[in-house]
Amino acid sequence: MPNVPPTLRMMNKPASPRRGFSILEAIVASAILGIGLIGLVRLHSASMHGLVRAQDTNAASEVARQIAERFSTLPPTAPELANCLPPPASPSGCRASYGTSGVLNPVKGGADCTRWVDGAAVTDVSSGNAGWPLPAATFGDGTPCPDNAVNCPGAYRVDISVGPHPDAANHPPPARLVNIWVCWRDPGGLVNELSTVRMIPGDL
Amino acid sequence: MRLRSEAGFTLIELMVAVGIAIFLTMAAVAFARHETKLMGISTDRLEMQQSARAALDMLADDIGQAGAGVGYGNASGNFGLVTDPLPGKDSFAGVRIDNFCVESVDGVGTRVCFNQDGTPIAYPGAADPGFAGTDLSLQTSDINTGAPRIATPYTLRTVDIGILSATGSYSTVADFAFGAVQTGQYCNDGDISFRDGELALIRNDVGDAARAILVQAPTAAACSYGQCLGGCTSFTVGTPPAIFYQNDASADSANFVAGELHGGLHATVWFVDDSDPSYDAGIGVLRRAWFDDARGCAARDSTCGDEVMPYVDTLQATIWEWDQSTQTWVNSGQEMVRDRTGQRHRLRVDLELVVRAKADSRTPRDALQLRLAPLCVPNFGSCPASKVDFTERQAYRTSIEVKNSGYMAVQ
Repeated sequence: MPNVPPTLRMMNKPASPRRGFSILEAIVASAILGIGLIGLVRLHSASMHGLVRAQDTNAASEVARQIAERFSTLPPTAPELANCLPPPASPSGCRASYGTSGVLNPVKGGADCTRWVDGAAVTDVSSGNAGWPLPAATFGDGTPCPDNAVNCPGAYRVDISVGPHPDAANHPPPARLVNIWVCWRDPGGLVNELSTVRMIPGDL
Repeated sequence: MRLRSEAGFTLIELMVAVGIAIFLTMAAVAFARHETKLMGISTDRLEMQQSARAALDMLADDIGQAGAGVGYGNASGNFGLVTDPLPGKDSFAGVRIDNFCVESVDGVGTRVCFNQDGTPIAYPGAADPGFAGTDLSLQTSDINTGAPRIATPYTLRTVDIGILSATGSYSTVADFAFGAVQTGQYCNDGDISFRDGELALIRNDVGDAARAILVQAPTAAACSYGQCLGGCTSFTVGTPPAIFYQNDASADSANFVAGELHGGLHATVWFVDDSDPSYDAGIGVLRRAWFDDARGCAARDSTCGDEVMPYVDTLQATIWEWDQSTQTWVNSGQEMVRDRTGQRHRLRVDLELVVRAKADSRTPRDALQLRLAPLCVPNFGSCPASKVDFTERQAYRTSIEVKNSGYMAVQ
């Protein structure tokens, strides 16, 4: 075709391959990307959950330690130790069941054997001399959390029971054994619990 | 010649692709920054917790030794050993909180007074609420609303704590003679030894007379009376600057034979130094200073003692004594000095250390809530309404039973 202009020759030439992605390819690529993103978000969420859980556990451990240290200094005749004898049928600990709908045990009998405390709050140590070193917890509006509250956000429920030392031969009365349980709900609603034990020697 | 395929991206395609790439890159960078920041907060928080617990444990160890070997008050109200009291400032022979002075025997006799600067500390920048000395008022805010979490601010006291104890070698006094040059002997029991020039406490067998001495030129010698199974060591008595450790008046003529010699006499002082201008108002450094015959410091500042923990808001301490008759704890005031009633008293010191993290005062839970605000992820509670600059603090507490002071027999 010698008389045909070059531009027309190009137009007549078969079109260059401009094939795009098929719908199937796009769907597969999107699915892979989506799975990756979902995994990343879940990983991020899990890591933050773990961070909060570790922080709460650490704080609960501090709560248990501080209360245990205070009770360790009590003489065996202190009234605080006589108030928290658990009745035989009373369940131990503060957690009744574990899970997203975990529940707490009923309030222990005796005076001041169960309390919601605020682990991070600042107190004035010169203002009181009770056996509890931690301030009572409150709801966001400042209302005190009752002992039998189902939950007190950001606070820890502490249960205490005092009993005779099981090794009475080596630790005869008035030696006592103090059990301290600390429970809290994590952001997902799970009830967590940790405990510690302290012995109070019988001699003054 | 066959033409090469020149099919490329259009400008629109390129712009869209670049836009998506930029968006994804920014998202990735933001995610990485977020994670890094969260990890930094977590690390700071962990460091703060460990530092605070370590500091409290160290302080508890010091307080647990308070009064060991030091003695207690006698019938006339004097103490076996007292530090130099300034006018209106009490001495101490065990634990003393608030105002006191300490002096080292370093050849200079430098005296340092604690809580004597008179500078009030108020937080957050408000006027001193009217409490004495370095008291401060603390108010925390709610993370969500910024409103005060408590109706009445806590009244806190940043106190200095002085602890006096003799926790070195301990031995029985085999001989002691007054004279122009006072001399003595102590029993060699096991690995007992006193170094030349060591600041020590000597007291009689009933514990109602005591004095601070410098043990000089200790030399192995035959026992004057032969009552020590391991042999004896002779020494001469050097007198430390009287202004530092004052002796009980009865110690000038007491019979110290069969008494006790306690080495390692020292005072340990804990205080919160707020003189660093790089810190926010009301925030300081917890420091521990040691005073004995070799160490001391010239002023109550950042050069005194060793840094234990930064970013400390306040250190509180209260001394309690168990009242057996009423079965209650009684605040025994600012000083722990036992009487001579012969009863074994139960003494307790409550400590509270209020600190905050170095880089961020927010707790991980609070920080998490704030950062999740745009996402409102379920099961994490309600999202905060706005980012508020709140002032959360973390308090660490401990209770120490003190058993050392005044354990000697009744006269």
